[in-house]
Amino acid sequence: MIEYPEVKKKLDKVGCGFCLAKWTQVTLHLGTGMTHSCHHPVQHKIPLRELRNNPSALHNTRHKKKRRKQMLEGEKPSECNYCWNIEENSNSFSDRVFKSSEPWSWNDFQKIKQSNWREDFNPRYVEVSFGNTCNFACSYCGPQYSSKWVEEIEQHGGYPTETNFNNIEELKEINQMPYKHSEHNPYVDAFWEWWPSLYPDLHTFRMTGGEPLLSKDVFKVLEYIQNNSEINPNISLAINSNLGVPDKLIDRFIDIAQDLCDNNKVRELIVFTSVEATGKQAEYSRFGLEYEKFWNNIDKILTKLPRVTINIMATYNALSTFTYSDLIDRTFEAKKKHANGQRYWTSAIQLDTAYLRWPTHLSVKILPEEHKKLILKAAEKALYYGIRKFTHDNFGFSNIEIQKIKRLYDYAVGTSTFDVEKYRKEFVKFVDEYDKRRNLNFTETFPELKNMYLVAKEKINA
Amino acid sequence: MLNITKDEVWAFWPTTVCNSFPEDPGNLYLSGKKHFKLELDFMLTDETDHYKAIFNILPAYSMLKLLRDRMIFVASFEGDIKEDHNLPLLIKPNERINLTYEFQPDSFINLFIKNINTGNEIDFKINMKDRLFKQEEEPFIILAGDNLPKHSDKEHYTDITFYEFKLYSDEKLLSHHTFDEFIHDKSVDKTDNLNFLHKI
Repeated sequence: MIEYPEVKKKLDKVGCGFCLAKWTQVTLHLGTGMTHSCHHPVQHKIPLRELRNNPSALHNTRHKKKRRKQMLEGEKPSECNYCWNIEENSNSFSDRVFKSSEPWSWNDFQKIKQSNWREDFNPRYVEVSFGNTCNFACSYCGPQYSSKWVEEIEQHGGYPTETNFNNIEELKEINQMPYKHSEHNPYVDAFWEWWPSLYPDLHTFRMTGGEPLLSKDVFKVLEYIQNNSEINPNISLAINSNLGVPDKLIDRFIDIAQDLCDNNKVRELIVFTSVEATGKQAEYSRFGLEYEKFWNNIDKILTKLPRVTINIMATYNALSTFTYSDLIDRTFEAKKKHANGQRYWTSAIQLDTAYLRWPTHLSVKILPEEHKKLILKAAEKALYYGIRKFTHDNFGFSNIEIQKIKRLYDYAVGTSTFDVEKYRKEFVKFVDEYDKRRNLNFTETFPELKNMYLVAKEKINA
Repeated sequence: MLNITKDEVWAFWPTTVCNSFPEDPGNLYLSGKKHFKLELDFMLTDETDHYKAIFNILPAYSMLKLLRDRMIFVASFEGDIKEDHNLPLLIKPNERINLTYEFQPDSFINLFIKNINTGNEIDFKINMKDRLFKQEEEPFIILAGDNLPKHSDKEHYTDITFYEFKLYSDEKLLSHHTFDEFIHDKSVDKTDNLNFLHKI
């Protein structure tokens, strides 16, 4: 694999904002008809008229082509500011470099560099969500991705924050309300029209949600691959799951996955899941989660599928800080237990840390400075758990896993125009309502933040 | 304490785990461009008389090794010049040793060894005026051996108990180990600089 400094140098030679992921990677939210490349920029709507004669416009929208033009002409598209923040606040590499270095990106470097921005490009790394059906309603999620959130907002309305958090009236106004499970969805139709020509070119195909294991289209894809694997036996298949669905669905997935892996119908299979805290604090933040069941399912999958890797996508937020270090311990235990030398990836389980940008009231930026230091302590722990090189039992945290925690700390303490007082008040308004609707108790669950909560509440009432 | 046996070596190479963290990696001070002072407190427990290496700074190759009846300090200079300096055999099994290795660019190399049991000392200097120490971008130290397992004849590995490891640069303590806390076969650096030693 090419080294990151070399990748950055070559990308910068084309343009300081050049990133291959704008071509090679796409996320499709078919439930809302939205897309983005990569997953950091805000999503935009896929115009149905663009799909009429070209189902690949699910990815190659006019909006995206204009950003590709900017990148090829030496500009930094403002929608990609996640990476510009990293590049301006630290010496760490941004995701622009990581994503462009991936084999599903870098192999197309020359082709993309020389391409015309108007051309359609068949993506190599595709993420698709067929809808928002989900049994969780996580604190940082919303109606676009969770039918549980839709139910709650339809019953109680948006949250009493300045932005009326998760208000679906606005979603309806901007035409981003998800199709209901029972409604006809033209974006899903376009996907199935595009799928036969997309599947042969795919390096990686990843299904997200909602909760994918609750979607019939997800099982339809899995069965298609079971029956047509000779067309693309090298596909890397990935599936997201909250690992909190009924056991029969986990077991059905494991059965199919065993066939795909044992009979070499895919190059690799990886399961993405999410958690960014432990115990009660995790259950508070990811409403619907049963923390121990979550780890039992991880153990079941890693035991029954000895070639499968699990990736924990941690959306690190203000509620993660006090137990993230414990999560690192738990992840390390699983890395150690399930290291077997048979997996596609070195590690049985990976902890992939990203910082939460939205909703702003849950950002780590609201935390007092002494709590932010816990992030650095967590990064240090991950470093000591780092993979020992030149040995056979090479389990542990990888360079990238460690770097991502460290750069989160750099982001948390970096200077910015973030209005701490404002968002602490917004945070209090949010958790008060969240507690009321879900019969929870914030200060009991997070005694570490009680003081910050009470001070901000007093300011609201003053 | 850290008991290293012939089956393994330990390394001072914090950048091998993560290339951007720690922020001030101690091993990069061994590049041949900066001052450093290495202090080791140890006891050789290998009673055989075969060739054995106490430490080696790689990839430049600056090593202290023992033969049957003498010690050899190897220093490497720019232009692929390697010098072997014979020293009296002061490091003997089951005797406590304090060793200081100091390097000052354009000035000197100083190897000071004291046998605590016998009180005998060696104070060996190399004048570095107008000489360039061999320079490397990613240096590291191997303890109780002369190289990584894949490059080494493991017969050069030895048994040593380390009691303390200190690395300074210009009076700043970069790394300090008394070997009372280990995580995942890494010795925790008491300075909080994250300059750990790890098993290979």
